[in-house]
Amino acid sequence: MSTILFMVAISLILSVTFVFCYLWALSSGQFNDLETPALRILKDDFKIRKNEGTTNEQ
Amino acid sequence: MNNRNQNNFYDDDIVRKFSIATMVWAGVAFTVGLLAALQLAYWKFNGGLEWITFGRLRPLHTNAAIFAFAGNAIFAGMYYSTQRLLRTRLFSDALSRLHFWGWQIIILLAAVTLPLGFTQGKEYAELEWPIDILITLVWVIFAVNFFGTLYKRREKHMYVAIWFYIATIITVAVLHIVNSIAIPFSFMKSYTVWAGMQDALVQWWYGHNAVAFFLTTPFLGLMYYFIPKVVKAPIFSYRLSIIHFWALVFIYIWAGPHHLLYTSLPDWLQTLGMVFSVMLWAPSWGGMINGLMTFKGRWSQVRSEPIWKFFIAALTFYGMATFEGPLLSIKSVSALGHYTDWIIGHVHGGALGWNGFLIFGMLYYIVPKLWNTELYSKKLAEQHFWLGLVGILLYYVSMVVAGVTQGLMWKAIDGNGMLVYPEFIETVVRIIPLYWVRALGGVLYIIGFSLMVYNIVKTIKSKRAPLTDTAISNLVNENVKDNKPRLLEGYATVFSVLALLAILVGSVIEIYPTLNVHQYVNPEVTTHPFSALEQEGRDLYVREGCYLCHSQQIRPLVDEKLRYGDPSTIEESIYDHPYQWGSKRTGPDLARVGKKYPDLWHYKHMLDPREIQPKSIMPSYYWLVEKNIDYSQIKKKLNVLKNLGVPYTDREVAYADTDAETQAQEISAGLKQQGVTEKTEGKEVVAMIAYLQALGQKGKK
Repeated sequence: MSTILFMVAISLILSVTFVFCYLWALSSGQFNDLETPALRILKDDFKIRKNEGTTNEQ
Repeated sequence: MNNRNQNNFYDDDIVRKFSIATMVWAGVAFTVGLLAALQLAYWKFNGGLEWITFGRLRPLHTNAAIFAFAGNAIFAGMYYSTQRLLRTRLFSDALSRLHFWGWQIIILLAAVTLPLGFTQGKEYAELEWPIDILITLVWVIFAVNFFGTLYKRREKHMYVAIWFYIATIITVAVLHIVNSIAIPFSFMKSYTVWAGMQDALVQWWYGHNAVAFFLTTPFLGLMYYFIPKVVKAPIFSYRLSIIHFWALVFIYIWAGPHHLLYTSLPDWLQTLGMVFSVMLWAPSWGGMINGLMTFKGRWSQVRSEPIWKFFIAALTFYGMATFEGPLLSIKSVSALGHYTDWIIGHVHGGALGWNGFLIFGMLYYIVPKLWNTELYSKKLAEQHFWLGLVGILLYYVSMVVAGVTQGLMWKAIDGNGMLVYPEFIETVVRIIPLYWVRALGGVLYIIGFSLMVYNIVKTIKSKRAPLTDTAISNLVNENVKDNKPRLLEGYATVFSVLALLAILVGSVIEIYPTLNVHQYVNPEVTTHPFSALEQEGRDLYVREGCYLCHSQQIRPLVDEKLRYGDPSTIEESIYDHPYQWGSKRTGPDLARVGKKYPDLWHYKHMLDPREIQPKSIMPSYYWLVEKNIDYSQIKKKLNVLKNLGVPYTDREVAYADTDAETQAQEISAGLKQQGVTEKTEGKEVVAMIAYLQALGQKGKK
């Protein structure tokens, strides 16, 4: 029985925390920009070509 | 443009190193796995060698597959993508190399010590304490290198892949340290500080989350980077990735107890583990859907792109495994599936399908880039894919059928309330043909892999020499100077702390109550620890990896009561460092085997199991009759155990060696009386018999 009370208390605390986390995330703009981060990674770094004068040293 | 500053180039050399190491260790892991599979089909595949007998080979296989093959692949993929995502060279070239060589040394040490029988007896955490310390050191080097790279990043915003890497590094550190805490009694041997039920819980909290944070989160990170790159399209839903990340890292950590359903673990923990496992369905499928839907509108291209096929199949296997996992975590399903080969099928669906195929896809993609060339043959990659796929399917289907068949046979009870198959061996013989099918699946998978090795070697040979590091474009990034907060994803420290909190909540709630394990113990039950000789035998039991085929945990189910006796209690294993409940019954449960058969039976059975049971698939442990017991360590062992809370008296510790010798002489004399002609005095088999006869004799009222 004491276990159940313990678990109920914990689940309530956790769920309330989650609701607040979500509300915070929403109001602080965590979900504001959902497009550009996914697109930005697609851009490749350009290849260095020999005629541009870079050496092959590492 | 002529800028030779190294910091303006990515460190591709370290990625090349890790990529090659991945290929090498993959070969080892697969070959050892095949050998283990063959031994289950026909035991003589151990070649009569103790070092490669199943109990010692299996840890070698799992460690090689997880930490050598998947580990090196993770590091290759993480170092490749992290640099590009953060647009900076890795923090330190020296740390990168220390990380690489340190990790390879750990693997080599594992490859030597595991066959020699140095093991902690905890699944996926078998390596002994000096190697554990080395792992911790290398992991810290890795962490410093990674977070240092984060610190000097040119791209302020952290892409979703990076979140998964952060969660991986933090959580693996926590898991490894907590689970591996042990007190050494010699240079290569130690006892874990956790005991019995507590050890079981900590072990599966670790074990399950090794799957979660070594075989899932880093691979999800790789998936989030490489799939958009390969497909040349953004991930399906960035929003979904945010939700799925936080849900996954928070929920996963709680699921460990589903490995211990119906055991003597407290009920509330079992239920908690089950509920969270079922909840895991959602974030897991969130990840799978996010990956698969990225291919939306481009499906026709899959036909001609083998790399795409690998990624799609990997995600599909991820979806299957994460559907099956929660299913198996439901208590009534676990009652059937646990201890059977169904679980073996389940993990290989994940390992060969999800991890393996994702790694293959990644290597086919990065190797040509790293060596500045084109893939040698798309056709070979295509053939690799189909061979591998058929291999996995053969493996998976054969093992699920074997598992369900055996599970149902164990459970079959006739109208009189008697077991239909009282002889365990009947249920083994029935599934041996499936063990051969499984081995065939492994062979196909390995043939496919060999095609890949050939393909990759040819690709590397076609490199346009000399090798260069990739230059970093857009060195000046306004993003960094941007004073506007870039949200949570822009603050590495805050993000890491939150991720740590997310995984600590579940860990603390599960582990903390069991630290005071005695509150679960019935005070009327007296438990006495193992005698010195029994403890010595127990260490041999651990050394030979007996727990990998024999459980010591009888579940409160009708058939198990009929077959093995009363359900195991928490008290019985309360002094067991480490616990040996096991997770698989290739042979019968041993929790109550003590006093069931005479010493002579055990002696003959160890020497040649077929003399007792003609159809037995257990290997002959003839070396136990040849090797002498090492009495010199026993005092130290009992002393360490006493310090860990096992109630040995001072006298028992002080006279541990002579006590052990006396008990050994009694057993040897008994064996002689029963007609054993070989000399057994002081041989290891005597200690083993003493231990086996003590099983089930503890914790009586």
